[in-house]
Amino acid sequence: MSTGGDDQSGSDDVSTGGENPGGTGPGAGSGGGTATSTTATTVEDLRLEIPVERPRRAENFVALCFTVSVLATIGLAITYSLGGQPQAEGALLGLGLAGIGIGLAAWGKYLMPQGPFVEDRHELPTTEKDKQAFGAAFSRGQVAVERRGFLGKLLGAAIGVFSIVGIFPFIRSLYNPRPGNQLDYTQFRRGSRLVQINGRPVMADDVDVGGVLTVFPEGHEGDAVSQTLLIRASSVPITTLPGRETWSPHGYLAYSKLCTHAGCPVSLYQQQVQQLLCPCHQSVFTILNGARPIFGPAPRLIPQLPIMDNGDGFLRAQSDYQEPVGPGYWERNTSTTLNPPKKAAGQ
Amino acid sequence: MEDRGIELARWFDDRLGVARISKTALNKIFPDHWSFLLGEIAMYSFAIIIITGIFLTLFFVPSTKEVIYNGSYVPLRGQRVSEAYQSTVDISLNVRAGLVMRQMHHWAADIFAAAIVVHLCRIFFTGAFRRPRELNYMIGLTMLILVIVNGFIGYSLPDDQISGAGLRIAFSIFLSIPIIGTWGAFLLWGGNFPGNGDIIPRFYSLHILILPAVIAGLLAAHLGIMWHQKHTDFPGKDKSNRKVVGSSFWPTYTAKTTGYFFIIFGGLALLGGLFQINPIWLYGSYEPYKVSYAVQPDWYMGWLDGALRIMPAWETQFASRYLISAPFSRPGSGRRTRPWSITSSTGPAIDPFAPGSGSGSCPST
Ligand code: HEM
Ligand code: FES
Repeated sequence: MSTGGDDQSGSDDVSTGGENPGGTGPGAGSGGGTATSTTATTVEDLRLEIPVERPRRAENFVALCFTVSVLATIGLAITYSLGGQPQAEGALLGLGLAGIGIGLAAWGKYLMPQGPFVEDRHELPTTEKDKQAFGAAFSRGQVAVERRGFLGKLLGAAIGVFSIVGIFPFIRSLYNPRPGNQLDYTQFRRGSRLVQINGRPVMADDVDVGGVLTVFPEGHEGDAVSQTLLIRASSVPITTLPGRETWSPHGYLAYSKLCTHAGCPVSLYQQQVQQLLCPCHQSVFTILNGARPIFGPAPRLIPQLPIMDNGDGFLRAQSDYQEPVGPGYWERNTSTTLNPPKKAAGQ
Repeated sequence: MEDRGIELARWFDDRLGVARISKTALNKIFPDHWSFLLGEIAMYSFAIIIITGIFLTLFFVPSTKEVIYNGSYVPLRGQRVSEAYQSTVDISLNVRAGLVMRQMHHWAADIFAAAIVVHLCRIFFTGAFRRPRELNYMIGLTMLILVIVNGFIGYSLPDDQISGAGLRIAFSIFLSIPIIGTWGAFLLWGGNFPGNGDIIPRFYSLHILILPAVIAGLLAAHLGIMWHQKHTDFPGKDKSNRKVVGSSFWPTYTAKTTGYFFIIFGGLALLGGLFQINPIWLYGSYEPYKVSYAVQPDWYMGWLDGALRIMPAWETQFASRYLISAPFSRPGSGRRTRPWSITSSTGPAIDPFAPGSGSGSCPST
């Protein structure tokens, strides 16, 4: 008997097993297109016929799978108790589980009744009568509630006020501290010595031309916001932008390490082309003219830290950065960076 | 044996009256088609994520407190690391079967998200989202988003150099949201980046409790609705809007689907044991001033990473006071007209409409 299965191997030898309690033939059996079999679940018919011709082979296969699983799992227990070894554990655990899985799936596919059985899909919407009964039930309550409309409104107010006031301490207690102007400033102050992560101050002759160091304001080693890239780009001062004539003693340029795109540490200095590359999304900045982005998603020049050498050999900050470092944020007042002096992109 | 079973069934039926509904359930018809397996892969990956995740919670310490590493991995000895990082290294290298469990958890997350996406494609291209199944479509989409979010959060938990860089970017994305961005970012992180140690414990409770609970609830609704509405099916003999054709839940479908669960479990165990993923002991504990050149999120975050890359480098100043950061800045939103103006220092490189944008500049020139 032909069946309606779409992709089951060997499903052709399924036959209907005689009478079924529902009183109708199985859907597939009537063979008359889609609309003929009218009643539900023909699965009550215990057709235990299975799709394969030689069940013994399938049985053996399933038995093999389960046996492999048992052996692998015992192996896993031994490996584990001997101290474990990741690859062996993974392989044995995998075999142990996959053995059960493949065995079960094969049992289901080859040694269990495949039907195809047919079941009615019920109509999802209920009847008009049901809907009306629901409406009536609901309005009964609604009438009772609306009769005391004033109380209802008060209840709404009580719950509303409670929700607002109740949520407030929850949110507020998470603010510790509040944003304030934390994003606008770093820890650099006038005279801060530039130090390395280990606290060692940087002297004017510490870095050769072409070298870089990550520096912080003294006392704030490791500070995520103040991190600064100190580049010895030359042996003589460089004026990166008009007004920055005194910012680079001995050819040291100090730029914030925070990318103006999304805040990654901009750390790859390419000396040949005097560029900085941000590893996160490949923004490229030219350092000789104020770390202007010439490629990638970074929208702004990287702020430059004005530094000085008072004559004692220590490199110090002349002041904090003169604009907020890092990526943009709503409260960032951009007037200082809007319409920056234009220079040709590139070198 | 059989009598015992019937005895037990009677016991329950006397108390709960469930014989009829259970019979209907056992006889439920499931259509056979390989593409119905996709959703199952997703569901079983979730189950395996929970199993392996529970194992991880037994050893993971969600804290950014700094300690000096003194464990068995020699290259890290003497370094200052966070407890979260140290415990994840310990899970990987000292806890028995810990590495397998951790890598299974990570692989399961990747497979989970992939299975949902392919499952979604099946739903989309066969039109299975149409009435009456819109609700389930929306639930499925919501779960996809939650899984991606929870994957990102889990990826951040070990507090290693790479995931820390991801968190930095996430903080910056929060910052860029107009009006509420700064407050939102500070709320979540408990201060300016990297926060004062709040983010990992908060992410932890989101990761192992809140989001999984929401996903589990949605999954239950998803399956319940699917069960009630019945599967969609491809056209075929005897199939119609009124009929479901296939094999029955008990025993055929039960055997097959339980088998699939174990196959997926086993497959993930093989992946977890044999294919290294996220070897955090090589990356080091997160330090905000360091960066690795291998900063790549898991594949399911690729859309966000890509969006960050292709977003034009524009910032818009609003009312000469507020800044609309790059992701929210739009060309044409009043360019060059007050009170709006746009900073675009890369204008010639990126903005095709900027005057004089004939030649782009690129980093190698
Ligand atoms: C949607 C569900 C989930 C996804 C997508 C997911 C994903 C991830 C990922 C990608 C990691 C990083 C793994 C690594 O270190 O390489 C992780 C870590 C972790 N997950 Fe999950 N997870 C989920 C649910 C859970 C649940 C339910 C639990 C616990 C019951 C859990 C417990 C953990 C723990 C303790 C860690 C930190 C240890 C570690 O990093 O290895 N996760 N998760
Ligand atoms: S963070 Fe530097 S390019 Fe995105």
